[in-house]
Amino acid sequence: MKKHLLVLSGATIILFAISFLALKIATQHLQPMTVFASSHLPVPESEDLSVAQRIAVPTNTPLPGIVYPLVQNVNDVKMELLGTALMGDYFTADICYNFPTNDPEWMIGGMSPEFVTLSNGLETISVYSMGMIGNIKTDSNGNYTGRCDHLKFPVSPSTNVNNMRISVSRIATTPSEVMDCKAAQKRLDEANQRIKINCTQDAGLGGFVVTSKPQGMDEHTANSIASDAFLDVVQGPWVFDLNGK
Amino acid sequence: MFFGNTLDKGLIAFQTEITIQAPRKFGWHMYKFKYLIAIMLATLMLVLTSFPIGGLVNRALATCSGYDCDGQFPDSAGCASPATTTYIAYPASSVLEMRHSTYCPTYWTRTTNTDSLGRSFYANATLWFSVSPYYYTVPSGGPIDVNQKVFSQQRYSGSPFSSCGYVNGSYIAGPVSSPCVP
Repeated sequence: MKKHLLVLSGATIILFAISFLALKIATQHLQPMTVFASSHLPVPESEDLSVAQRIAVPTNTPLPGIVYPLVQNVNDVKMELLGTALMGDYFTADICYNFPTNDPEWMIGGMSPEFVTLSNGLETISVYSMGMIGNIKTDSNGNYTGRCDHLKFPVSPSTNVNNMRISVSRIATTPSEVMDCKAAQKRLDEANQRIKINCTQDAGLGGFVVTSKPQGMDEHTANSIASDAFLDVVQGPWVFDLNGK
Repeated sequence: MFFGNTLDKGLIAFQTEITIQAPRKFGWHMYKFKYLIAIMLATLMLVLTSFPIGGLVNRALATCSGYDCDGQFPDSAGCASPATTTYIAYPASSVLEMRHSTYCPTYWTRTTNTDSLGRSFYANATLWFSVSPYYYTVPSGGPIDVNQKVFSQQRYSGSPFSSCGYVNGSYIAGPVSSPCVP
């Protein structure tokens, strides 16, 4: 009987070892490929901003002496402001943050610029563009752990840059080209939003429309609520005060 | 029950026969064998669940990789999820993105109508790259509603370098050269 038990235990250990090694090798070969196409492209000095709002910031005004990075940890998401600068018509900021889940689709703000703002106490302006710095961060197991972004806020040449504040009100996943309408509708129903949506999918075209909403709810609100039903969201805010002395 | 009572009765009789007629020693071995199988399956499940199996599934869903994906739409090629927005900008009433497929790994442009007043607009999504045919451009055939998006074909080769697009009250044939990201 002991002999049998020894054989059985040995077989289990060997099977475990073989399974572990085989899967380890397999996952190493299935890491996302490194893509270097756009990551190394220079960020242009200016973009067409005929429609973007601008706040007044004096050109060549030195930024206050702030010690970077500034770190904020809200709802288990650590966000770091690595630095800021005035570059021509833009106030720029480099921000790194970790992902709440193993999903490469997380990003700050998301589909609306109003979630990432710059203010000077008098005016508030939304971010105009963001670009990923380098590649998405991964750990040794290939899990997606975070990313860094270069943010650009349009400014004009006559404002005080003392006491600037950068606010990120949330991070969210981005909606896929393939909309999971059923899951989103389920989320809306579970939250008792009384919003009905319909998805469309065609070559080069996709999205959803709100087909019914509660009386009294405006269209923008209904669209925002419905849009969020497709996403995962972690609320902040992460606030960085640039008032270094 | 689905196969009728005859089969059910036969199955019960078969199970009973094994239980009753199995010799004691063989039964003990069977018990240990089942125990071993259970341990091995549990171990295997433990090992499997500790690896990113979701990634394997997503990779398997993609029907192309690298150069083979050139010119295909990301959704129909299974490349759209997971995907990352590498660059994003917010021109008037819209969101312009350069998207990157995690597994394919290709790039494409996406333009979404996000007009806060709920207006429908024509839209265009153009992706630029450095070899012939140099761009893919996808105009919407008609006005698209808020939260509707157009996206270009995807590209792997030719170092895709810029995504351009916007929404407008009139048709945008393309290719679009401004506004762009990066």
